[in-house]
Amino acid sequence: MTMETALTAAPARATTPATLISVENVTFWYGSTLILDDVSCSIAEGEFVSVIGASGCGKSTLLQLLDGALRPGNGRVVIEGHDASKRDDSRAVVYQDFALMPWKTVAENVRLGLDYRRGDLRMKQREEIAHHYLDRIGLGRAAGMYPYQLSGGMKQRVGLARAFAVQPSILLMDEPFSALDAQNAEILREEVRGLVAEERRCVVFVTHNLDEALQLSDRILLMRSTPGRLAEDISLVEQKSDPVAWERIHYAEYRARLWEFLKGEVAAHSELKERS
Amino acid sequence: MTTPMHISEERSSTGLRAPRESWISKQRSRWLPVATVIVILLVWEILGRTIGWNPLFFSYPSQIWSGFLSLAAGPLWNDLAVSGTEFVLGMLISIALAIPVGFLLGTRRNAYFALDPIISALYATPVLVLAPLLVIWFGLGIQSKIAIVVILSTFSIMINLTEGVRATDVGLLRAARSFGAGRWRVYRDVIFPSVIPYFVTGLRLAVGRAMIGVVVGEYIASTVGIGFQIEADAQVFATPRYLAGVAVIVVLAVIVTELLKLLERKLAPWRRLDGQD
Ligand SMILES: Nc1ncnc2c1ncn2[C@@H]1O[C@H](COP(=O)(O)OP(=O)(O)OP(=O)(O)O)[C@@H](O)[C@H]1O
Ligand SMILES: [Mg+2]
Repeated sequence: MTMETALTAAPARATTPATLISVENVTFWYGSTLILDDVSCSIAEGEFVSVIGASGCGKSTLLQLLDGALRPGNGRVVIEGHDASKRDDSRAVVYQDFALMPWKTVAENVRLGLDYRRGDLRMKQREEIAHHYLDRIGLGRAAGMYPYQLSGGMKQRVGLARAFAVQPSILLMDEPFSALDAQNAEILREEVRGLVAEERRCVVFVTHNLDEALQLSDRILLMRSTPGRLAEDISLVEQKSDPVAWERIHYAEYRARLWEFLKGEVAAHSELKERS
Repeated sequence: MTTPMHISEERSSTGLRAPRESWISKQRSRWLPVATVIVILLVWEILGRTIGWNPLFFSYPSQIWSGFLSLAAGPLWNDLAVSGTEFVLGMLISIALAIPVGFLLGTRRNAYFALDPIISALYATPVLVLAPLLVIWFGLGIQSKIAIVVILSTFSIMINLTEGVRATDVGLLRAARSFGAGRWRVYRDVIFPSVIPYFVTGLRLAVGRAMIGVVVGEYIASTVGIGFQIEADAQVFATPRYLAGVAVIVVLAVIVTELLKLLERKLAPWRRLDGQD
């Protein structure tokens, strides 16, 4: 009962505009190094968008800009109508290296965002929400354990539960499965697919893994490197609407196309290195 | 909350330490040091009795034990009370000074750049050479010993705290802020906990230096205290009593160190299997 009210007590989103994220001519420097050059894109409610690009092209930087942890040098990042640097409850991040607090138990880690953001809820309610997501992701029995007692796959489950527990309208995931072995990655991919479908959240998903991107996304953004630019914006919605044709024909086509792009990027990179 | 057994077993069976071996090695680590001490004492006792060196310069365990009994019947408890007061007050002042400055240096780059070289230099200096000066300033009473303890131990704590704050994982800071932590909660949930092991390390170093400070301070100029007692007995070649005083200090040092380990385990339970000590 309290669970229900707690869950539905999340801020109403009836009036949110269709566009949740709008990146407008964003430029970003680290010191005097140009990392992102004139990046623009917009992402709508309920979209699952993957970002693919060579290592070091600025994908994590872009995600940090969306989260508001970094500010653009030029241009703006607008989230739900206001500047991304304004802290609000709209976003939650899943980190590549988990970023769990070693001194908090699994349950406390999952509650982290709720403790910070949902001061309006009583401790009991926050605990219930945290346990709901822990059970949902199969870690109910590990609630009292510390992160050092968990395997990598379990740690990232905690990371996912922590992000989903605050019920963000936007989930930002930075290569969430790249530190995991192939089987765990596959299992968690399924979990994420299920959770996202269930709750229709907008997801920005950074990955190196082409199959991961193709399976999960509605849209794929290809990033060019040095400096980071958006090269292509590929929508898969239409192709995926015919699942048979998607699996038999288009999947391989798109995979080849993405692979060509990445190969070109890596080749360009090594040429650059050789010349310098 | 109980720990689900199957999960921890899974971990340890794939981990480096096998569960059975860990039980044996635990027993070993408990009893081997005790055995070593007993053997050393026995050999010492036998050598002392058979060789018959000059009792003015040499002693052995049973004589030292009588020396201890004589101390315990006499000035020992009053000496310990005074030395203990000097130690505790000195440590408390050191901690009170080290915490704010340590955090300031850890969080403010400018303060760090401005002050770190001086503090490192002072830490590396054998500041004990200042002890006579401090006695002149603060007199023969406990104040001068407290001052010596403070200049000896403050920097160990301070430097470790600063190091701990600076070593805080930026990924954790970023995550806490991203999930909505304000300034105070970032301190409470990220910086303080990650500093605890560094703080305890600083305390351990400080305790060692503080004990040296107390004993040497009393040795140099005092009328009471365990250091004064040792010095007085050494002067009159009461070697067994003198060595008994030294033994008391050794035992106290061991006790304090063990208490600190206990404190760390209490303060940082999440490291229980990590550090192992
Ligand atoms: N704190 C920093 N200071 C200076 N340069 C940085 C910093 N962080 C990242 N960079 C540089 O910015 C560029 C983009 O980094 P970013 O982490 O966004 O890349 P990425 O696309 O996420 O790479 P990867 O796929 O390896 O995670 C890199 O060339 C990196 O060297
Ligand atoms: Mg990255």
